[in-house]
Amino acid sequence: MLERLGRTMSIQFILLYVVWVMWLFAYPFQLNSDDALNFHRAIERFSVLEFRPHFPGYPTFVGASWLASILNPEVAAANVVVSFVSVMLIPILVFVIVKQLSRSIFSAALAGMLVMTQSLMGALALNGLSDSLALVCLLFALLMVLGKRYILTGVWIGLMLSTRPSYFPLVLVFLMVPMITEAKGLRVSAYLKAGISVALIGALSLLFIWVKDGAAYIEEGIRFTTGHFTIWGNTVSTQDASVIQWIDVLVSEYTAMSLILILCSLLYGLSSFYRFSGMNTSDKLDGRDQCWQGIIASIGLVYLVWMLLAQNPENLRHWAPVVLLFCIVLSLQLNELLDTKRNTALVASVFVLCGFAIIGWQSINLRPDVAPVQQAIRWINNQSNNKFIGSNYCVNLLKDRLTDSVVFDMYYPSSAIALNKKSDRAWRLSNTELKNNELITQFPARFSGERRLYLYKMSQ
Amino acid sequence: MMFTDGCKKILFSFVLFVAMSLPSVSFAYSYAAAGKEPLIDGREVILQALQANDYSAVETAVLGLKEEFDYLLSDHNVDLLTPINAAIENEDGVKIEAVIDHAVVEEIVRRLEGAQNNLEDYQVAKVLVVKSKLFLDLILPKLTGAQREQANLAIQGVLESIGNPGVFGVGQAPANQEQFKTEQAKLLSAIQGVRQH
Repeated sequence: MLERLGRTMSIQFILLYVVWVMWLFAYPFQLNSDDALNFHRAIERFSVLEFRPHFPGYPTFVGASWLASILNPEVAAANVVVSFVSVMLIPILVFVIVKQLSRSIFSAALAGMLVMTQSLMGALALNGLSDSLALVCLLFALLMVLGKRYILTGVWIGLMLSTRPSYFPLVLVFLMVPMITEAKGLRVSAYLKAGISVALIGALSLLFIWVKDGAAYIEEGIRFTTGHFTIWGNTVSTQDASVIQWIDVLVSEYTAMSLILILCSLLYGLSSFYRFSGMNTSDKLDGRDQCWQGIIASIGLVYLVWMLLAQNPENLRHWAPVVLLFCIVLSLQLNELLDTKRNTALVASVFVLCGFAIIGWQSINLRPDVAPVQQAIRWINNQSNNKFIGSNYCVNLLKDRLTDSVVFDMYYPSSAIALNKKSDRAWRLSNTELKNNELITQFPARFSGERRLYLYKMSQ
Repeated sequence: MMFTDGCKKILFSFVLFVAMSLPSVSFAYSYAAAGKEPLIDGREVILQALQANDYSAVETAVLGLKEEFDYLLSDHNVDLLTPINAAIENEDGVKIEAVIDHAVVEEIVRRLEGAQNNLEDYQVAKVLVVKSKLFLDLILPKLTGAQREQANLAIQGVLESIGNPGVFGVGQAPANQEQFKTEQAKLLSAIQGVRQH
């Protein structure tokens, strides 16, 4: 019965995967943000001081993008190719990890499908940023540590940090793994193997940056970090942001019930440590696999704390590691239930899958073919001459792509003054709704994680 | 319900690692604000005061920029304080904006000159040119489409000409003095119009 179910589920997984890849492949590969533009420019000339890309430099992601540009010189945005290919790998890696941990094709396929129901994956695939490649490195690191291949675990963790250093809280729990899964005598060797690999990748990454920018990199790092936490980062240390903002964003994207499910699943995952500790010594050898649920849940929870405190709630992509690890943990939990209460587990699986599919479907807008900022660029380019645009969003991308227009950075108050003097032929592009301005048109988001843009006529 | 020693160790490590991640965050909070420029901030205050027809606020803001104006006069022989004070006296908003934009151009000029004199020092040269781009971005809307394109290409050319420092000679790209001069000249010719008031 379970075998047949597993086979059916894996066929569904494969079919859904093919449709999912074809659907996302239909979207054009374009630059959709200033950060993506910075990464694109970094392929040509790398300099953190010049924001090619911004601090801390993301050397592995830039290296992967450079490789993509060499393999396919025709492509207009090699960094988008990297983010796209990375996202395509995520459901497969999740499938393999859950299969290895649960030995159940049913649960593995469920986990893979849960990942594909996340509308956020669409945004991650097409944004040309480093999140998706870092997630792939995280999943490879998990896979390697499951097989106790500590040198490769260290290599993948090093590559993840070099792709996206703000994922460092994901590593903290990895430090516990040898203490749980290895006998006392083997722990030091495990730490040494992984540690040396991480240090090697770290040293190579730093060397690459140092060759390009030298000691000036440190100064830029201090300036940038300060700005992130005090000016533009919109984290808890900045004035008007808080954990509440994150909760607001997540509730509006996922509903309160789904959020509670995600949190409960991760917290319940921690209980696998307790169940493991209750086993007698001989059972512990077999029971070590059970601990993985707790380890993966801990990784998700530690990152969640970091995200709430230090990541910008305006960028939903920061949430991706939590939801990805939740998909793995929940599938493992449903697999446990499958052994004892089969029917309950099957109903719960269908319910969860349908629930997330509906939430995902509701946050997808199938009509627009390009990202909101590219829709705006197309719209403005189609207008007649004398174009003045003020924006607080994607200013550099707009300047780069709207060569016939004058683009004002709305960070400066004087920009509003200058635009108001030309109010009969000036527009204001904004990622938030503005009062007292005449709305001309809107550019809808395609997936969760993209932001709707509003175009207003400037008024006095 | 008792945790085993192993579990206690795990929990202890967990708490320790979370605690380790926090000091680095709070450490970052204590740094000063990131890279403000007096002329950029002063220009903003002046333009807002002009919008409100508040010439005493303009005068106060110009007084706040005295050090910048004095430096331009003493080290670069460019007197902008006299014309801006005359314009304030006459309550000539257009002239005040023109002079302050001229000051922005002079900031670009002096930073590029500084970079050119320090081309052997990667960090100094690069930071000066990157900062000059901040000022250039402010006056780009005052240029024609062709001038904007020329200025953008030229500043990228200037940045490229600085090269890379390398590590013990590995990956080093020495600065190209000739390229720097050529691109600098192109940039200055593109923004020349904003220099006149």
